[in-house]
Amino acid sequence: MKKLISIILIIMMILGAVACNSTKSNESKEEVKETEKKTDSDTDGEEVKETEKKTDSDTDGEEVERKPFKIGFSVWGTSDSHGRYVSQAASWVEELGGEVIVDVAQGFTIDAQVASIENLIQSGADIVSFCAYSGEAVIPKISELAEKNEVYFVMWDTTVSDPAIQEMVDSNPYFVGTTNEGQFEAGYETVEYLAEQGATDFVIIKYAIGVAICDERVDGASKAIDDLGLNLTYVIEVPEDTKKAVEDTLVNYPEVNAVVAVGGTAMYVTPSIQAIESVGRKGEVLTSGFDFSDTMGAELEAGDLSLVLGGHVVTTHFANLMALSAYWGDPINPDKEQLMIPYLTVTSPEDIDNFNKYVVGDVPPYTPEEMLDSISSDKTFDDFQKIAMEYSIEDVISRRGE
Amino acid sequence: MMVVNMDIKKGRIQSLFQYNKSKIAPLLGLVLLVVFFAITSKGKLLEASSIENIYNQGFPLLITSLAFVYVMATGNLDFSIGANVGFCATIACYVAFFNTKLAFPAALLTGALVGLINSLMYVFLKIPSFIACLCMMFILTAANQTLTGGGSKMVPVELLQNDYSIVRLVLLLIYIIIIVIIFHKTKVGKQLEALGISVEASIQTGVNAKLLFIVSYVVTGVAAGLAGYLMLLRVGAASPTLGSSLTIDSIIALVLGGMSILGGASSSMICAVTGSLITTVLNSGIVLAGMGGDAQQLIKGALFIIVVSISTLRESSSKNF
Amino acid sequence: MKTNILRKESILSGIKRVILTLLLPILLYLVLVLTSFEKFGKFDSFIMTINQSMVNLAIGWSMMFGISVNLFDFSVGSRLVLAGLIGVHFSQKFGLLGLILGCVVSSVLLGSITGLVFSILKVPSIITGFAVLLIFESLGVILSKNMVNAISSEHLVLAKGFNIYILIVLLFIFVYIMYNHTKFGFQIKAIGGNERVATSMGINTAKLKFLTYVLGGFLVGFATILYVSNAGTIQPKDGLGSMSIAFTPIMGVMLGMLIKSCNSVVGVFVGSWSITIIGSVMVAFGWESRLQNVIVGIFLIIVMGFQLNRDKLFKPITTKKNIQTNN
Repeated sequence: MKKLISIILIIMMILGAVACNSTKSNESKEEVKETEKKTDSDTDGEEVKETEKKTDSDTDGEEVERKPFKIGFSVWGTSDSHGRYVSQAASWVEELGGEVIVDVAQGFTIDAQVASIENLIQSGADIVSFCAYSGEAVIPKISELAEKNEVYFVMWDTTVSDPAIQEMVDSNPYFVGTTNEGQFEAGYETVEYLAEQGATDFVIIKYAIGVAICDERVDGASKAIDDLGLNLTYVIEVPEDTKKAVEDTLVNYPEVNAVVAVGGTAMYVTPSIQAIESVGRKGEVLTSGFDFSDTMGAELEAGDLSLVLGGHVVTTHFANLMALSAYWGDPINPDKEQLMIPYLTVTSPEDIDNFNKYVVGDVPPYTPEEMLDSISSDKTFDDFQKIAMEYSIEDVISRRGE
Repeated sequence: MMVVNMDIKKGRIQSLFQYNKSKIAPLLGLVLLVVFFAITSKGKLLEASSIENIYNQGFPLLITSLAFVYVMATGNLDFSIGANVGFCATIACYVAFFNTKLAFPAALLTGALVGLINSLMYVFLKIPSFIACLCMMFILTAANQTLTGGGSKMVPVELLQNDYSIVRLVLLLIYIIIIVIIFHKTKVGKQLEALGISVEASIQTGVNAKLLFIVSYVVTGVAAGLAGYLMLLRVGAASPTLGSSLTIDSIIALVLGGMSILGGASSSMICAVTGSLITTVLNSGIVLAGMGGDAQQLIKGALFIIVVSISTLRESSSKNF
Repeated sequence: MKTNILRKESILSGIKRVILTLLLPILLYLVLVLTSFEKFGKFDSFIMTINQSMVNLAIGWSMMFGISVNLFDFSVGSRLVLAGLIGVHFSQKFGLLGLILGCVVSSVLLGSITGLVFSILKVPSIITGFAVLLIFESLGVILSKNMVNAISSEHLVLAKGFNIYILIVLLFIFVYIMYNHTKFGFQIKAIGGNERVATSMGINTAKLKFLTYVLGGFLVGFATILYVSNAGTIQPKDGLGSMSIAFTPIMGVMLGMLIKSCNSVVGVFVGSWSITIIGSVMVAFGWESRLQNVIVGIFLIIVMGFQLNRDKLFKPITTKKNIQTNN
């Protein structure tokens, strides 16, 4: 009996798979998509109004149909501040008449990322938005998936550097483009800034292994250390107990006077500050981090922390806008260039309060009109890039008129 | 404590029905899960493309958990299987740059070798398998990180461009047929189960315990090699973390499928099939049903408890580990 | 096997036992001193390694009871994180007392919930642990969204100076008495030895296991206080990330239980301390820190291989027993 059931199950599973491999299943999917869209647009009165308004103001006369959309957004987790903020920023575009589904792929593994994209596509997404955190080698597979299922894809916090992969995605009509913050430069600038403060011997804390962004920042920092003739003393990789790791390093290498965490300020810098204090070197060792944390205001004020780069939450927002413009048939980025996103630097607790209130507060920092305007057909990619580069806490406050 | 006592009494009565329940309960859990997601995803779960997804995402777990039955039947666990999958994939990726045809045997061989070392540490050095495999996991993970240079490594373009779905299907079929027949049609399965019940007693009845322990670990090793190679073809890249979740997923799948973590007579291939289907459907269905964001893991945990309570055999408390 | 070692032990004098017990960490520390006398010859450096092992020691003690009754619990890390988040939140409102009560009460609650799920569902502890881990991690992420997850510096005192020793000594006395001199401890060891025999002796195993979860929760509460005070912050984890918190403590417990010259409670201390020193040795040699687990693993295999093969009289069967107690 046991065996019988197991054999039947296996056969069912395999037959199902064979059936799918041989027949194109797109038909049934299209049907579902269409009925969904119908019901969506029925209830969405606002959407129609917006479209009308748009055509009124458009002197070019070129009409852009703003179809309702569903964006599938894949993220590594929402427990760290960056993961949490980018997931939040991804849903700002919902006000343009669509839906964003956030899938938290389990951990940083490459297989989980592919599975996540597959599931999002299957759930009826018109656009998938993700970060190639497991390295760019995953891109060809996802590009193939997107092309096969006729789904647009956009990558945030990602740079394509391999020419073979670049060629592959460029030839894919469903590829929209990438956004990134210049991770290499950020790593470089961090070291430069700390060197100005007198740092000479560096310890770098890596927050992940095999994650492209992390590696790019480390590369940038290492390059700056080389260029300026400084020393990279030790690299700590994904410590379970950061305090212990930093204590050990400081005891072994008493010459160290700067600790750079290339990600996860809250996770790695706060314990590092505790470690510096416990070995009695408070005030002698500089620290810096990436991504905002709750306590950085107090730490900056006390002088325990020198510099934090972060607040680049709009990376997903602009990626989504870019993808939407392509989905609506009027791409803002027809050449599929990389959109640069600025880092924010904060120096006082008020800045962080403002960031929490205006950027990642209850109301999105961009109004639906501003969003639509930034990708309207009279705008070029350069205009769009300019809007992205203008992003800052002050910019958001001034646009709110407060 | 009243509740607990009551439950034990109930458990004794239930034990009369356990024989049949142990087979049907996990299937019931699976069916209920499928029905739940079919409704919440408005039918998307049952579409052909969705079933294809489940097959694509579930086959590595099916491969590893089928082999895991061999180890778990004896009451041991193989904590290194996930890391072994990733390591074999990386080796296969490197070999593929020299010769794409050699990549597959290289993966199988690597996996088998790792399994052999695990079993030798256990059988001859008498190190508890738990520790031996845990250490192997650390070693393989570190080796994999070093080999991939900390980042992901793309397979040769010719491997990327070909469609390997037929090859995969054939390999999978052959593997399943072999592994099921050996376990259920030869005396190996029964002997492994006997080892799970009592090593001393099995040896007295003439079972070659050492050899069987070695066989069980080599089988998981080979499975890791197969899963690693097929996953490499699927994602198109080797990475330091590829397959790392398969260890815990395999254990969970088998227990969900109704197998005791201490092995013994409850061991069966069907456990691996139902268990890995439940795990994969849960991961996939939750997205199809539009349950995303922060609450995703919470919902997953809650559904998991419900499915577990339906599908796991309610053992009497003395066997409750 | 045990009786044999006990007989051998009776010959050893008390001093010899102390030396034997501390041999491992002392030898390991000597390696450190040999690499650089000027850095590690100082008393401060020696004390630092003990301080560093305290958090893992407290977690290790909390897991020791569960491991003794064959409970395989993955959820310890997630419970620690969630209790820590709650404790930190209360410390902002009620100060130090808020931190202590917040951590301990919530941890006992979380432990009891896990125990309840375990006894009501009657599923293996590995599955119970996995299920509640998914939920607790997720609750931690949701809870931490609108919350400051760091603890203000005046409330960090528990991990500083002598306070940490007072806390650890109090914990030690509690754990030692619970494990060695109570009916509870005796019954736990009986279940660990042979569950069927224990049941036939009239021990209510279901009740005992539930109580083990509660007691574990109580001890995790103190481990949480140390964890939070030590790092100054607690961050939520998701996607099974919290599991790794328990990794090093488990290794410490495994190593500790191998040391036969002392009581298990002391053994866990020695084990945790030894593993801490190995971490420091890695940095001292300038080895890549990703290799740390590899070294700890190989070290465990060597120590175990030596321990288990000392007496060639035993057949491989005996390993079977070891596995079961280790589960």
